[in-house]
Amino acid sequence: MSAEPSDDSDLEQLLVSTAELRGQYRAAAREVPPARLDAAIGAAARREVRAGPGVARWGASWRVPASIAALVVISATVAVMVGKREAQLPVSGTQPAAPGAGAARDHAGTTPSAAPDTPKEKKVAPSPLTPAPRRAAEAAGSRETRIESVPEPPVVPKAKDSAAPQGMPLPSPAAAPAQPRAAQSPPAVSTPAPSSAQEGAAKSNSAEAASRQALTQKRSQAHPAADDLGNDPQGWLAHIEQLRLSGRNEEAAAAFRAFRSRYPDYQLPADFIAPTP
Amino acid sequence: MPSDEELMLRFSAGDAAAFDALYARHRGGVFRYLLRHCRNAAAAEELFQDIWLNLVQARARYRVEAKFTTYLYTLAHNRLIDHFRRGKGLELVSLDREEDDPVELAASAAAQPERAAQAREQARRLLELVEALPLAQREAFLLHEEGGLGLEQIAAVTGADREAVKSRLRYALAKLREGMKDYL
Repeated sequence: MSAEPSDDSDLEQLLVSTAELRGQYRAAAREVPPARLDAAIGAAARREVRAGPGVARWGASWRVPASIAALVVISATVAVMVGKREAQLPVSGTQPAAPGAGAARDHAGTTPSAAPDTPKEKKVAPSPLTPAPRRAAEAAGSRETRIESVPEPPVVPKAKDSAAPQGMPLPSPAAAPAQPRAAQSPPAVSTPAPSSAQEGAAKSNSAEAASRQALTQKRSQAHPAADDLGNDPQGWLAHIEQLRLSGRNEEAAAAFRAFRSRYPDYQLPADFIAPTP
Repeated sequence: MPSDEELMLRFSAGDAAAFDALYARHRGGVFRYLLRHCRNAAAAEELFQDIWLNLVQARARYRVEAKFTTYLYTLAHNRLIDHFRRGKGLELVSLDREEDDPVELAASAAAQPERAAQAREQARRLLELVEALPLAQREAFLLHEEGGLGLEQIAAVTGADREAVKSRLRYALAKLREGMKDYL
């Protein structure tokens, strides 16, 4: 760097010595842009000024904050939705590990009369006894999701001979066939593909399961969808009875209170036993 | 008289008249810088318009971080390099065409036909020599003469080392002087 001044002075000397030459160049090079270019560029500058000084800057600057805000809103929405779903899950997903409770959870997915120790994977497969609407939902691949996420009470199975499309449950328990559930093939109650393990489990149900099924079968002709229990007093009662029979008396009592608040004047069947906590 | 930077800031704030003043100062230099490089008036005009429109559109982002001429000729340099890379810079202009001769002679010289013809020939030769310079030397010479840029500014525009710029400028001047020795 110390040599720079002398080098620059050399250049300065060269520039001085070529001053005449450079003057000749400036005299020779006199071209200017055509007037149409001057007009076009000037017009563009005036258009830009009319558009506003801050337009481009604002347009460039708003996108990042807006994107961040949108991301925050979407994240918060998803978090709230997930939180709500998780808050509902314990009803069906955090049952006690007791055998009866396990059976109740299985019932929520399939049938209330299934054996308590029915293998869980069995309820995933569609059953010929499963109501048509539910089978349609299963066909859409949504059953497992419903089982895990919907906290509604279990649904009552439809009788085997009522597997044909049936819009609504029969209005009277008397209309339901009094055929004992145990008389049907036990594995078919829960899943369509009976296996030896399932058959063994069904056989171990003993007479208690058969009597429970008989009681249940009286009151429910078809599976009301879990979401529709509120509109199906018979199904609701069947569900309450299932809760009571499975030892979940408090839940049964709470459900019965809810039932009564919804249907204060509903005449209970003679054989219905009101649960007590 | 406001500086270039002041005019550009005023234009950024919405003063169209400031742009007119700025444009009037630099339109000739930028145009000739492009013309000497392109050797084609149509190409030079296209690039010229692109450069000024880019400057107009970028006015909101303009910050005074260097001399305005450095900023302006950097735009021009980059656009020119892009033009060369696209293979459009290989057109040559016949230097024999009379209509391309930009020389305007002084009144005293024009009054005498022999001297006028000699001056025209001298100018034509000089421009021919400039355009025949190697690109880097021509760049340094034109930025110095047309843009009025110093060594540091030329180095900033071209991305070259200051010493390299100085060397290129010296070579360019030496070649021009050598080529014009018969006329000086």
